[in-house]
Amino acid sequence: MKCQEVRLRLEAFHDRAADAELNSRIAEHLEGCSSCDGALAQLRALRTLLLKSSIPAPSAALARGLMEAFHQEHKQTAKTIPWWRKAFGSSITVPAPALAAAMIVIAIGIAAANIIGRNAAIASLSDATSAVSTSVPPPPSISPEIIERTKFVEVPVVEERVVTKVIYVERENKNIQTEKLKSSDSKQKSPNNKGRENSEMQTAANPDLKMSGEVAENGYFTRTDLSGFRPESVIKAKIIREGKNDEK
Amino acid sequence: MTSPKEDLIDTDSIAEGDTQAFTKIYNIYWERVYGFAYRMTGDQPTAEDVTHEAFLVLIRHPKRYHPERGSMMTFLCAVARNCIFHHFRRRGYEIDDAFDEQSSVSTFIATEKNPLNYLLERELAEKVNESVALLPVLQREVLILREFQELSYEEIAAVVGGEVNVVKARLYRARQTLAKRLAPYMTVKGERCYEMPGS
Repeated sequence: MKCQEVRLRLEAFHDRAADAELNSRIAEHLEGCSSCDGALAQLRALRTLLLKSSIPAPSAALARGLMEAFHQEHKQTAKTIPWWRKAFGSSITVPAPALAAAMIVIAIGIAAANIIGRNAAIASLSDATSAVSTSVPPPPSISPEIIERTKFVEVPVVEERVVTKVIYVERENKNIQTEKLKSSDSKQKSPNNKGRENSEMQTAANPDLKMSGEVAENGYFTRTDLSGFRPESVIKAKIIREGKNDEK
Repeated sequence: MTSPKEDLIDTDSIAEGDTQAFTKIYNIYWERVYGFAYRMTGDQPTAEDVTHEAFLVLIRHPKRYHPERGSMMTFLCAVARNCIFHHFRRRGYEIDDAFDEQSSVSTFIATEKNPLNYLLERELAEKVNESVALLPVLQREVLILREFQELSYEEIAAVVGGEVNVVKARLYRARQTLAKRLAPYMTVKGERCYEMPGS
């Protein structure tokens, strides 16, 4: 093998990308050629030098942020992995007919147990029925004084093609509404005195949010006036994938 | 091309929300993905953002990973590469394979304060980082993927979406340039080297 051929394939040899036959031929040549051997030594020296460079460790926020994103993504869609899958791995599959037969057997068993249990319960409770009056507690009622409104704020993220919807809930009680009505009346009478208060109230009561788009260096942003609104305890995201909406 | 680590990958479990499955993959690959992003951008917050985005794709779309097309490392690096190039383009950098250094993206490598004992090593490391950062983007990425991430030519070609021969050519040019820049720091068989033989 000539030096010129070796030089063309020396990097592949250095990167262990050459096949076994080529490797042995190059190695054979290198034993008797100090020039080509020197070139290989240069490549090795460069690699050694490169590996001396270090990089700073990332902050803990990287892992934390990803775990949060993972939990957020699977908040509603996460399924409980069956114990038999955890124990035996995901490769185990149960044949459909066997699964159906097992389900039928289990269903029959549950029905039989219910019938037997019900008869026993009726017998044991028959004496006590006259003495104890069963009363179903009324469902918890929502206070009529609180009115909830849901506002959607759409924040398009161009890179991801994801539209995030944050739900803001405005809570008002009737007293505030009454005040609004009063202030609206007073606005008509003396707009100068109550001007600022009225404008705030109108913003809160206005069903249409004021939104404005802005293209900045880092992407597209939407500014929204959210005065009078506060975020719900659970922030929901709405992701649009190829035109299909997925509530998250 | 798959490694023994690939056996541990279970994207089905990730799709089902299995935290352990995701943590396992994250622990295997985060360092290499972050290393690739940092060496490409030279900026820690950007590298963290890129790493975050790469794993976020895995969280949201685990089925996009096809083992028959390449390793998980290849998949994550390809996603990270898209994020990095998007980052470059957003800043108006030109991405080409030009030999002209002026047209390439030169990133600033942040320096850190270190103990005096490690001053020389740190200086050398900074010099190496600077030299790598001055390479044209397309040459830099193949060099990083080969020398630091230890991907094969085929895997690098899969990440950058090009031919193996193109990868080899870019790698060759990157090494030639680096050898010239770092010649005063290179030691070959106990002697200082000032020029790459065969260049």
